[in-house]
Amino acid sequence: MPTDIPASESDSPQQLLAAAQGYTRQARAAQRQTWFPLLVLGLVVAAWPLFGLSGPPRGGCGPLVHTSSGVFRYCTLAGSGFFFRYWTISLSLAYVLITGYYLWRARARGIGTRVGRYAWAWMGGLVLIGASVWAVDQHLNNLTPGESLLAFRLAAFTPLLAIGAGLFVLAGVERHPALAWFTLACLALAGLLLVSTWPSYLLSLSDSRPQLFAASRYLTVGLFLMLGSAGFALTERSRP
Amino acid sequence: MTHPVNGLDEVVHQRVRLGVLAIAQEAKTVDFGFLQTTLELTAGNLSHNLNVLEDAGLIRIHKGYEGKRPRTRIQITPAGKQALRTEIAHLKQLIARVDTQHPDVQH
Repeated sequence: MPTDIPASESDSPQQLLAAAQGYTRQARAAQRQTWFPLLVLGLVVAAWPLFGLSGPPRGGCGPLVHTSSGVFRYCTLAGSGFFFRYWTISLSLAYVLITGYYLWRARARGIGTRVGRYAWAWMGGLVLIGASVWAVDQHLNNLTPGESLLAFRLAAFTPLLAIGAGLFVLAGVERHPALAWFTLACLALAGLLLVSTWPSYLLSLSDSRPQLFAASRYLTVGLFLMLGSAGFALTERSRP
Repeated sequence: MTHPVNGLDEVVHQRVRLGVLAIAQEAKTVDFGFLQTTLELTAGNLSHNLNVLEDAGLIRIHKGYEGKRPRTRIQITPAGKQALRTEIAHLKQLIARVDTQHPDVQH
């Protein structure tokens, strides 16, 4: 109930401190729109197989290497121009969309949010992906048969790392520990699926239908992000 | 050692003004309407408190229009951020002092 009575001057230090902390929490909560970036980024991740893993191979191959057991050539999408273009364009569009939505919602709610740090996270992500594609391309040219392919699996994980970094920045700006924990869980899942080799031993799919297996890993991570989006949306909706 | 009470700023040591600074600190700008709703104040009471804070150089008030609707935005100044930090620190010191001297006091 609005009051025209001047605030009590006899508020105790405890009451004043509790009030200030309460208002701070309210201001932070009013700016949170966590569900939206998770939904958009989830769609970007889940859509990657549609573009990158369907149809004919899209480049990212090293030179032919002649060995005693035959001719060897290794290809990985993570070293291709197509990989770089998909992730940089889709993440750029995602960041523009997310920032625009945050500004629009903030204006509607009457509390102007700071979005400058998201731009830094976005630029950092693009640099990370560019550096990764360049490094893989260099590595492809010097790859010898039997060499560990960990570098390529790490490169495939890079866009998820860029997304994770962006979400950590968001969690920091919004002082949102739940989002930080969720991001950590998402990166752990993505690391397990994309970097670790054990899922391929568990699922025979990796041998019989390698593209379907690769697609299922990105779809799982994308779905995880979208489920998180639904969870945060329900939480934010139930907030007083 | 100086008693923490001596460091309290009369302009800030008040629930509404402390609330305005606490909210404004978290945002780039905050609308008059948002402050009014969150602090549960009448427009007159909030205006009075905002003027006090503006006169002290702790906030800036931007008056403008969005379409045909007037819109007032409040922005905290660096001095306002400092005043908020100092006030919070003094409040914590006061509470710690009371807790140390009178551990049986219930808050």
